[in-house]
Amino acid sequence: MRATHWRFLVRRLVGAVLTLLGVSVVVFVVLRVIPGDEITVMLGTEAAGLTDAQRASLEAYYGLGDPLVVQYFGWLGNVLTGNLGVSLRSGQPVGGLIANALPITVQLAVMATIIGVALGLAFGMLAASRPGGLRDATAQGFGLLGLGTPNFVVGAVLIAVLSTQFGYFPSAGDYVGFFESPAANVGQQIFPAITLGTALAAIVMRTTRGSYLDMWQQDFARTAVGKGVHPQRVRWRHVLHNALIPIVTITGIQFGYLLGGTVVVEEIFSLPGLGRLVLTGIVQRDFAVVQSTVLVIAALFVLVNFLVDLLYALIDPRVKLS
Amino acid sequence: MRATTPRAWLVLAIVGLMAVLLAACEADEAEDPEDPDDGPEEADDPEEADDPEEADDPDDPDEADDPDDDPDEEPDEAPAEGGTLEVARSADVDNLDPHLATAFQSREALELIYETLVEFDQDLNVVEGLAEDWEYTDDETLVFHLRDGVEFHDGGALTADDVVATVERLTDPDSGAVAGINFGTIESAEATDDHTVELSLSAADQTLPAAFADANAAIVPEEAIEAETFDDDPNGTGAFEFDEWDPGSVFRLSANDGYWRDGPFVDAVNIRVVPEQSSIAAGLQAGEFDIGVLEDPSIVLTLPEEEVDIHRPDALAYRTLMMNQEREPFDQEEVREAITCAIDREEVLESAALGEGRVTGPFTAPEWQFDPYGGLDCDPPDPDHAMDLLAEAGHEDGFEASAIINSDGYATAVDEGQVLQAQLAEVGIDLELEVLESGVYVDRWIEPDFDVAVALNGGRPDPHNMYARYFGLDGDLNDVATHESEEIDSLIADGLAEDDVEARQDIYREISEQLNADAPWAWLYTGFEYRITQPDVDGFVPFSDGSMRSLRDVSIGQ
Repeated sequence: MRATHWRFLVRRLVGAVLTLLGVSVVVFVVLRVIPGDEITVMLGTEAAGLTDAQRASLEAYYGLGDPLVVQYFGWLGNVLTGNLGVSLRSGQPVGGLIANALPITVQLAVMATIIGVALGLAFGMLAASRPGGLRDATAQGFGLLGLGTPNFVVGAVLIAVLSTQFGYFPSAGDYVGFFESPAANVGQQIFPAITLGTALAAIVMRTTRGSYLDMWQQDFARTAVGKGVHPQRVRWRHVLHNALIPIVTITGIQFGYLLGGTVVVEEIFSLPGLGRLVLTGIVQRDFAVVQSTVLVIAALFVLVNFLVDLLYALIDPRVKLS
Repeated sequence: MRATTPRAWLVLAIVGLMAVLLAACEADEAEDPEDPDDGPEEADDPEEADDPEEADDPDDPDEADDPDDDPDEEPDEAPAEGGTLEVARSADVDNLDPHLATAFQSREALELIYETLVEFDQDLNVVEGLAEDWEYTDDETLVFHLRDGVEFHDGGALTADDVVATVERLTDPDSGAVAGINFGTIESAEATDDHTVELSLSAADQTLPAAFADANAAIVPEEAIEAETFDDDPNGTGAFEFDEWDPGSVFRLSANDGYWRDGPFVDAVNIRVVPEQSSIAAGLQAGEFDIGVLEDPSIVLTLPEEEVDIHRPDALAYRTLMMNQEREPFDQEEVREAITCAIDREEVLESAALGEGRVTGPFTAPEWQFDPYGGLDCDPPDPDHAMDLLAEAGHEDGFEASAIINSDGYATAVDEGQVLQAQLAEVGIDLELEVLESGVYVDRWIEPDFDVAVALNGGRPDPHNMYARYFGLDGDLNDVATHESEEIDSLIADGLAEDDVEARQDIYREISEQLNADAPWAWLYTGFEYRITQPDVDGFVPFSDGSMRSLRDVSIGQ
């Protein structure tokens, strides 16, 4: 490896650590700033009936008595040694909860990305093949629809149609891991993935169209055509290859968002993924769960960004790792 | 390689997607042979379909008193054995310790694992449970006689020592037991023999049997208290044993083969967490769930009644508008009464809950419902009288106030707030709505930091347990209710000591009228505790307290 590569790696690593530290502080503080302590939230209106002694004993029971700074560094120290804490509510180790939820969310994000990119590329190319024509307008119309329709609407419509018309409800039973039964697993994930994928497809489509048309105008394309290369070959070999760079970038960023943005879809389709873990954690003020899960999501985001950078360099050798 | 055209790509992508989709659908169907689509047809059997209706009939005490007989009463078929019952609800269990768990969903799940000394029947009368008999030997002594031959899931026998240890934990202020408030009169518990427990009281207290029927008063083994094993090893006497809790996803129970009653008739119960209520409704229609718990009337009304059975027991929980008497102008009785007169409860019920419920006065349990308007100075709605009252109080031009509303606690809250806002505007009261997330709402409610609060208050079968805490001067929620009345306080004390049911009813009617006259709150309506079952679910009995303990009697038809 060359020195520039090392420098790149070290710089990214330091950046990642700083980012994660920042996230940890923000999450920790925000959780404690929002009103409603965990005991009140847990007991609801019953909390009004607690005597001081009862409250103190509950706080001791759940380990909430320490000063905030002590709590923060205690948590951070534990995280560094791989101990993500214990959920106040379920009493289960947060590491285990995340280990169960993470594959579901990652798979959902991957499938949504595949669907989004496949549809987005196809429609984008279609639109770009004859800009201004009927095809273009139709594809762009779909794009707008995809961008403008919130996930929860797409999800709700999918469920409503599929369950009332076809009696098919995708996610009610036990969650089946991919390696247990790929077909059943994909069956459970496909509708949530389509729900998320359609929104992504719209973004990819617009990027593809724009970038493709842009590249088509570039000198190298004109030159190639001028030299007598078959336009189809130019289209696929040269233009698309170059147009891929912004598409990869946007897909990478969107993939990162998907990891953290599956909350709504996981809620609608009752998929026990990371999004639901965080959401329930926030509602229940289950600090350990929210803190550690958000940190893991942030770490994934950083990792994905890093991989996208690498991929970037792979597609286009002109891009320097710097 | 020949270049492919964009059109071909598009076709490929779509075909691929459809293939995956089809494969997924087929795979699921193939895996679910026990869930044939013809299930709903079988429901056409009139006997089966009528059953829940009959069970709803409050005039039929026999059936409710002895749910054990239910499966045997079906002359045409013995209860089908086996199968897994899939139950869907939107919230997860929050605690496995029956004495600390407060959320409804926890209590309802733990009730299947643990049992209580006595229980409520469908009409909310106290009937035998782990105790086959109980008596007040004098005003200040209550004796429970335990059933013989009851075992915990680990095989240990239930003895009086377990009950004594449980009572001591319930009454220990340091244990955090939430039901402790109902056992304030218990001074000591003693096992006089293996199956007899004697409670010594500091004062006459007729509400104790009802208090012991509460899921939060579950009997736990003495060793579990010493070893504090509630969180990882729930060990009760109930019809189902704890298997696994996958937080946010599923709570698994399996049949207790050594159960002392008949049953259970299914092998296992899975209580699934499906956060979106509309997804529960969809799953019910798709036949994925055997039983669904719903709260939102607008979603329940979308369900086809010819395909699923919708049970609608009246809820004990009630909607009310709480007024903070520590703030002006709610410290004036005329103002509070004016608000009560200005509110059209029927309209609130119609608009916010689509008419799914009934208007209510202070008491909501079946035996304790009196004229909802009794004691009021007007027969509401009467906006003119309300305006007169406001003028009398010096507010002829009205005033501004704000209402706190829980945005995510229950479905109809915001709608109720909006209807109330419109109704109060007609008499010149400008109500600003503060819609708050649960955690914030509860904080403000407890403080109490509000002018008025749109509230859903939990109900209890016994009026004492329901109202002493708000309106008794020593009540733990009296600071929240902000209403102090010596008169009501002494009536509450009378009601606690009175052992004659009719005399007790007179006392509570008086309290009800007095509460209406003082108007600390405007009582609105009670909804339904919706339970939706598939037609092939037999033996399910809905309870007003939301309990699902009849799952021990439920079987799934073929």
